[in-house]
Amino acid sequence: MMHALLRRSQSGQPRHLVASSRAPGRARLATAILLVLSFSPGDWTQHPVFAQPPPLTGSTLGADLYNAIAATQSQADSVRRAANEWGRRANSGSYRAEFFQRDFASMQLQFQSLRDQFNWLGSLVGQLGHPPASNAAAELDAGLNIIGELFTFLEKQANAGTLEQQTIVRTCRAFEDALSEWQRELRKGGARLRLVL
Amino acid sequence: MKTFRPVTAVVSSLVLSLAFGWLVGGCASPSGGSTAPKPGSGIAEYRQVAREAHQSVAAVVDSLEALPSYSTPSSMRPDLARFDRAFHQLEVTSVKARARAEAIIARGQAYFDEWKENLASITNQPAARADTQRYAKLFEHFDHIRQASSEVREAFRPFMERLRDFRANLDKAPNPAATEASRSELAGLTAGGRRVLQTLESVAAALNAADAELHATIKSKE
Repeated sequence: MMHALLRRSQSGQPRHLVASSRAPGRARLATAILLVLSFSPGDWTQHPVFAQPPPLTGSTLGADLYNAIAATQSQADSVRRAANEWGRRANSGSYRAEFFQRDFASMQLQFQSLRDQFNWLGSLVGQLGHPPASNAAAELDAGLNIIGELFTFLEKQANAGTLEQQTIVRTCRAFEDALSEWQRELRKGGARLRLVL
Repeated sequence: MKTFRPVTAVVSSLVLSLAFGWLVGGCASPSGGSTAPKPGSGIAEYRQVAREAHQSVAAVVDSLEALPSYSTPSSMRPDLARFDRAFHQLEVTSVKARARAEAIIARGQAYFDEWKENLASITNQPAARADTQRYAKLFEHFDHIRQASSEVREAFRPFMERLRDFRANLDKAPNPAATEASRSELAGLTAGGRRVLQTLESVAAALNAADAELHATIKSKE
């Protein structure tokens, strides 16, 4: 597959998925990419935990928890689907730097939304005062941080001008499968929580 | 004095159960949970995490070791596919393993903090001395586990980063200089993987020692 991964420009050099200074308007594009990439995943957890109001609220803590679990699951589904679609797009021959910029930004937003949603769930679990549930929430929280490291990797490759399409495809698959595992743990935690409530 | 002894016995049991809360039960709560964990289940949980992580890292190291004997991308293909599978598996399983390990250690620290606070409430001096000794012994084991876990973290994260970079480099156009650099990177990467395996083995050894201490403590209380 190595040869299929490489698309060369007319000069015979491998074409990477970053802006080159030769094409008009590329400098602006490069700046835009850098701006997008400068929003690193590491920043996300430093946002106020309850930056966004909960999308759904029930009349009791239990109802709020159910709603928060469902909303977090739903958002995790969206992120997983987004990773899958991004991977398929990146695997096509016509995938360009501009597409990467857009997809990366979109995926970051989706992931940030999942982070916000989960933070809300985590705060409700904290109110419950049930140590096993808090332990499970802490584990899920750490899981999201670890999955977020994949953004750092893509960012580093893009900044170095060495990002290849197949690297994106593989990273998207890692995102998707890691999120799938994460969701499985969330489902288990949710099921255990139902026994407590 | 009639009521003093039972109270001391209750406090003493509580103090010991706090240690067991982390050392024996992943779901135990220091403040008294609804579940009664089976002795040794907390250590068993962490041991399972370490074992799975060890298997995944070992599979990657094995597949890395198979790569250098091939010099061209096409001849590398079958082994590269094997490496890709092992790498992907590690990428996915390490999220759960690392998250669980972090949570277990954080939970352990909370238990020992609470246990220490409770030690101060024991008024019976001989009982307090005995429990303080138990605390010291078990905390020492916990500290070893925590230290070993910290070494895993320090070795694993850069290993994973280098692994991603290495795989990304293979996606690029091959050239002789890159091939040479790749060989050197491969050697460093394999050594890094072996280092991670060693640190995981240290965690397993620390868990075994804690397990033995815990069972000795339980026996002495019977």
